[in-house]
Amino acid sequence: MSLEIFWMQLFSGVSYTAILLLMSLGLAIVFGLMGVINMAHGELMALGAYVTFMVANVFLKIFPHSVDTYILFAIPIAFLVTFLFGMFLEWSVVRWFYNRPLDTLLATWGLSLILQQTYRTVFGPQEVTIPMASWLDGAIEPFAGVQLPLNRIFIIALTLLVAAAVYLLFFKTRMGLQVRAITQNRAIAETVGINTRQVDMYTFALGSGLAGIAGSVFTMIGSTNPGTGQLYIVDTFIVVVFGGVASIMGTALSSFIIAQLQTTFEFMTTSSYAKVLLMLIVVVILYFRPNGLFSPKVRS
Amino acid sequence: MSSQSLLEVHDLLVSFGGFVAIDHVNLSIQSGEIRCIIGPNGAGKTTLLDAICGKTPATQGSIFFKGIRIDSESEFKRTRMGMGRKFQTPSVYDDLTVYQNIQISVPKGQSMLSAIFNSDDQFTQEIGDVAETTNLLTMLDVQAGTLSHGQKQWLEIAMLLVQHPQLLLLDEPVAGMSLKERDQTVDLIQRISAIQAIVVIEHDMDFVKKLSGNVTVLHQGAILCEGSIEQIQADPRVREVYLGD
Amino acid sequence: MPKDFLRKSWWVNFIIIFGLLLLLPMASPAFRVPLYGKYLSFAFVALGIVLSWGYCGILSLGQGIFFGIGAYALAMFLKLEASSPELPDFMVWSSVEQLPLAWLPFQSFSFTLICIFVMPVLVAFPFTYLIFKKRVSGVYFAILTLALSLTLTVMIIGSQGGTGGANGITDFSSLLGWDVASDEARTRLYYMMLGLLALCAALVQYLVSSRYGKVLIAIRDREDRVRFSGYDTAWIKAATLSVSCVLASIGGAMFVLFTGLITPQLVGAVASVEMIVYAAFGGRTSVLGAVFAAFAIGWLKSALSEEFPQGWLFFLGGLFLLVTAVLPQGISGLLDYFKKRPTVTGDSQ
Repeated sequence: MSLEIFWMQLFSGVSYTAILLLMSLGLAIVFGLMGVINMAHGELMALGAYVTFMVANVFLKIFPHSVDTYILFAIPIAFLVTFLFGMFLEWSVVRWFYNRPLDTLLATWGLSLILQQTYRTVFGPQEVTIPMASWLDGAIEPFAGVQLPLNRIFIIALTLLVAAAVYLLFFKTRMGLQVRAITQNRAIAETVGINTRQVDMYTFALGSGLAGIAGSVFTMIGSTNPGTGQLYIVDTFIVVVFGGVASIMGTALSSFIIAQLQTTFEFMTTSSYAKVLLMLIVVVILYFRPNGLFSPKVRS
Repeated sequence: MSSQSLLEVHDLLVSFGGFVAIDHVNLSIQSGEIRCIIGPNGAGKTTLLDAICGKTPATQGSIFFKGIRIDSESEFKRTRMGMGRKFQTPSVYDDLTVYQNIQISVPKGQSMLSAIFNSDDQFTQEIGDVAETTNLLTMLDVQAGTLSHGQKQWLEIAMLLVQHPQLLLLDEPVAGMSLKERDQTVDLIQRISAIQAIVVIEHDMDFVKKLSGNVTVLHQGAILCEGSIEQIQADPRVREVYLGD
Repeated sequence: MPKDFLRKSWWVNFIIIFGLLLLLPMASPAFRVPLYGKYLSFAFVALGIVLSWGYCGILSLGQGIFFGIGAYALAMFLKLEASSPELPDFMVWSSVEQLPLAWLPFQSFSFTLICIFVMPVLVAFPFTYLIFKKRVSGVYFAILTLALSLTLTVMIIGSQGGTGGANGITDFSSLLGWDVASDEARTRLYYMMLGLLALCAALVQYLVSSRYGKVLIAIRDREDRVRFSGYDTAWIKAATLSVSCVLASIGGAMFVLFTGLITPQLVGAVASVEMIVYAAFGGRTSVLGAVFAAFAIGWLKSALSEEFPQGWLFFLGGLFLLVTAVLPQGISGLLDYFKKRPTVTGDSQ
């Protein structure tokens, strides 16, 4: 394997890591910290994508000269919309299921079906085309023969930013402290005056908002149609479960491992065999570490 | 290692990622003995029982039951060998009746085929006997979830008794019971100790006194001292640990 | 004989439901009967889910895999019969020169039958036994099975020459020389299937009424206590799930008989989760509820696709929300409520 191909493979792996991480961060927070299995996470990503589509169209019609900047507005707007929608979902559906993880799984699956059909009805069953900002078109070439697409570099940069922001939120702010307290012992957290209802709602909203960012960003590398969410949800869950739901760091490492494995397998065989091989490895490792690769051992 | 002891624990170490819960404990229980394990909260009493019955794996050390080494056996195997464990919070099947709870615990019917094909009434005599011993004879058709806290504890003991264990591990059997129920439980334990060895974790000193067995004091995962209840109460180390003298 | 199994009220309901299903073809045009057969093939799957999920608490989102085993097994046999002595058409289109090794045994009907009834056990039992021994719990197990059913779909689609790929296998006409494609033939098959379904329903009801059923409930509610009562719960769970998988496989074979088709979509993640709702809607612990719900939902699905195609996903999604939020005991729970009978979880009609 030549050096150029090695670098491009590596870059492929890193950029896929960023993608998986961006998708999984929101889910890890909601699943890991709240025990809520949100099968509609994919549809929240799709919502972010559709919002981005609408923002792009608004720019095309009203600010045609600044069309290239639309993405910078679309991402925060997608975050806001999915954040608020997540709050609504939590308040109306999710909070009734907190002690019943299997029921949460089924209920949110139902939600995902409803959302998918809503997208189909509102936006149509075909994919919607979203213009690419021209400054993200093309690639840079640090060495001869090694082409690194700009949009992927953008994604990696954004993911680092988002991950850093999430880290700061959870480890340097009061709200983050409250979330961690509730995760470890809800009852005690309540008795010291933490408003767990509110924290739950905001945490779920945050998870949704992160999904929205992911969806918004994916418009640059994939098509957007009502089934987009379904494409990503299982991969995302594998990353979270594999990493061990107790830690965000675990999710990051898990994204990296799975991304590297997947891109390597894809390089070696066809895409479907790559998936199968990956699943086999995941199942075997889960057999030895049922709580995920990076979960701490606790007294049950 | 003496083959007379029913249960032998040698140099047991249980640690959870760095935190040492059981620190090189040696313990020996004879057949028909009543042993009380006491100690302040967090001393490791429940973890000790967990390690003996198999709920928690031992990090180091060995456990012998009836002369056979068991520390790598799964819980259900240890149960079949003759060990019974009662949990701190009553662990009964809320949706089934008292009768059904005990019925499930009968060892003879435990293979799947037997469970599918045996009739409901096969073990009525045994179930009745055990229910009588645990003061539940009149409650056989009651749904377990509706029993009082104390009755649930007795039911759990009944479920263990019907398995004819040689060693019973009881974790805080009288927690949450009324005074009258506590006395009844003392009677119950003394009745059944004729046939089997019993290890009891308790906080209630009156209860421990009434049982009049040997006492082991656990502190921070290690054995502080052992002896009769009078010896324990007179020991200055115990005073220090409990009262901070 | 377990007391509960001989309970009169259950048998009355049994006769009502199967009686109605028996009379149905006489009250409908012939072309609808295969549809009824299709709906009821999912009843087999739902029965299995009542056993493994309703009673034992194991949520498997991979029943599609076993539905697929039974369906593809029978489809392969029927396809070989329909196209012999030549290769099946999709293989010709994919430039396959020789019948793949995996297809050869399916020329025998006995092998096909063994495949439908036994292979699910061979696949499910060892795998799930090891997993349950490791205490992989509810949610993780569910997600694992979801991922596996997705992986299977990917594999099937990727092997165009061997499995018909995304288009699946179709175009068969006879089973051992008997016509299976015409409406009349399928009406005969309907009655046979109904008999088999009644047998399976009675069997599952027997299992759950016996002491074994009580053990399952105990495992569902408090597995560690059951271990401390001396049971190898991993073994019991794996065995129960395997029975459930065999039922799913039978359902898959029935499906192929009534629709003349199998595609990877029917065995994948989405289909697997949908199968759960059949059991949930009927009442997770209700054997007859499963039969009723499978038929009702199938019927509603057809009706909606005709009148209001956009509505199906809304309806299905709403159904998921309904059975988890409002009606956890499903239709049978609702009936119990109206009859003012207390619903002991595990004793529903």
